[in-house]
Amino acid sequence: MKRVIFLTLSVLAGFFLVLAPLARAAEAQVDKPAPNFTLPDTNGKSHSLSDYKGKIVVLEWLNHDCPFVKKLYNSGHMQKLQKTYGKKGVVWFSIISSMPGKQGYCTPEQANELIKQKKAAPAALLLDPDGKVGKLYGAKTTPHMYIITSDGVLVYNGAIDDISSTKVEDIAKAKNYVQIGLDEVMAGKEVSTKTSVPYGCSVKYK
Amino acid sequence: MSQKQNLQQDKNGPEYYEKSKNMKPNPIWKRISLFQYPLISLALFIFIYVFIAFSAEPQQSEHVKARLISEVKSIQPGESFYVALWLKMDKLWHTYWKNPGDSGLPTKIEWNLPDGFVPGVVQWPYPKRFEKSGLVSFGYEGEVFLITQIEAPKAIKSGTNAKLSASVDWLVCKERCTSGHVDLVIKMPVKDKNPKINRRWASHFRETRKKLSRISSEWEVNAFINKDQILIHIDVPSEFKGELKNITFFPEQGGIINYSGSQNLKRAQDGYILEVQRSKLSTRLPARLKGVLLSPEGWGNSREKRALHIDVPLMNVN
Repeated sequence: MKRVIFLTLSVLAGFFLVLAPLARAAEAQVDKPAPNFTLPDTNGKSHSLSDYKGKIVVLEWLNHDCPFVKKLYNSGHMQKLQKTYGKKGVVWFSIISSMPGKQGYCTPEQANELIKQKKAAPAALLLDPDGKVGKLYGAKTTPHMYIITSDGVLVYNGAIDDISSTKVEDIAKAKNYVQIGLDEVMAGKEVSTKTSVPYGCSVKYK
Repeated sequence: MSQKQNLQQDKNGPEYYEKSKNMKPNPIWKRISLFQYPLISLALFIFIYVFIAFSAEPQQSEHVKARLISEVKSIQPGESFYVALWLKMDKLWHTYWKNPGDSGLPTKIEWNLPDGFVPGVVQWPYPKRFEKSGLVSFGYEGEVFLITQIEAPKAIKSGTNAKLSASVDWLVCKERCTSGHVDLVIKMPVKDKNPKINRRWASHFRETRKKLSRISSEWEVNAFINKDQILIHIDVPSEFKGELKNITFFPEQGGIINYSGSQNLKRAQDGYILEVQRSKLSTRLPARLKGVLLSPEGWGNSREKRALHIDVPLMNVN
């Protein structure tokens, strides 16, 4: 009986091993080249990922009204990461993929105002109101974090840390995957955690 | 209403840590004459006595009303009883299941009970699947009853009152999300006799229990995993004469399956195989697969048993 199940399953498994990858959309995958994109920042300047070859890039999906994001910004934690790694030459892009009218959407002026208010320090805040880049990277939540090496390889895709919560006091207890990943990349080491399950509010796509 | 408007005007305001405010008593005492006082206080006393014993006043937070409700009217020393957290969400807003899916956060209840009382784990009814722009979450809209079993110690004295407190946190989302927190209290009398049922809420307890997932000895389930899929093999018991249709698997653990992927049910030799796509972000695989298999037509010959609880070894067939 068990043998029959096993055989059936193996045949099915083989069948789907061939078919399943075909059904998948071209999405960002770790250990593969990070897909290129071009987006305007809040001052109208256009940024392409390919312009930053030679630099480590962080992508941070952002929605300032999301309670999970508020935890990180109201505590000053996200700004601190942006400043610390910015000084070390890391290019940090915050990206808003909320569509107009949805939570987190900002006009360039509103976004600049928010940067000032929150004392945020990304290299640039990129605006993706049609969600194209968000979907290209498979960004699911705010926050959702990515690390790209100076060779343009995606080495981290996932959560900011390992405690899914909206409480400030959990930040200190959590293991911050981005911090660990960046330190490892800068030390020339293999990233120990390359993927994790992102947590947060859903990205407000159209 | 006014609270909502305020929050919309000030989206960056500190709504996220705000505790819900207690309801303020109407200053009725200013408008009545002295001789009415005894009458009113008597009425008030009766009201409090009758009401507070079984269900605490609802607390209103942004988009969610919350209240603790006991299934019984009194606590018997040494016996266990059930208390539910009732959450009533505004229209189109939802709170989350124990595994929230691609986004969200499960509702969290932290009990603060008198000495010797032991709370059990939350009994989660099976959730509803919400999909928006390819992102899937699991939760509840309308209202939900989250039941917890509480064991009372033998040592408590009849004639006293027990104060059960719960600190409750949730995330509630429609298109935007906001987190809520309330501290709830329910006072219950301790009586040395079989407690009476709180009739007003009996149907809520009954209906919610139909949505709890249960382990079955009749349905044998095995789970296998390969590079891309989880295959859930369901053996059909000989007594079952129906046909399985539209089976959905809700994993209890996060990050194992691709929530937006389709789940396909196929006939196999002795039953069915449910094919579920693996998550691309899963790193460590769990040794066991836990969750709920939902059958809209029911697992027995009645539609009342819809949610089958599974907790089985996850065998690698790579």
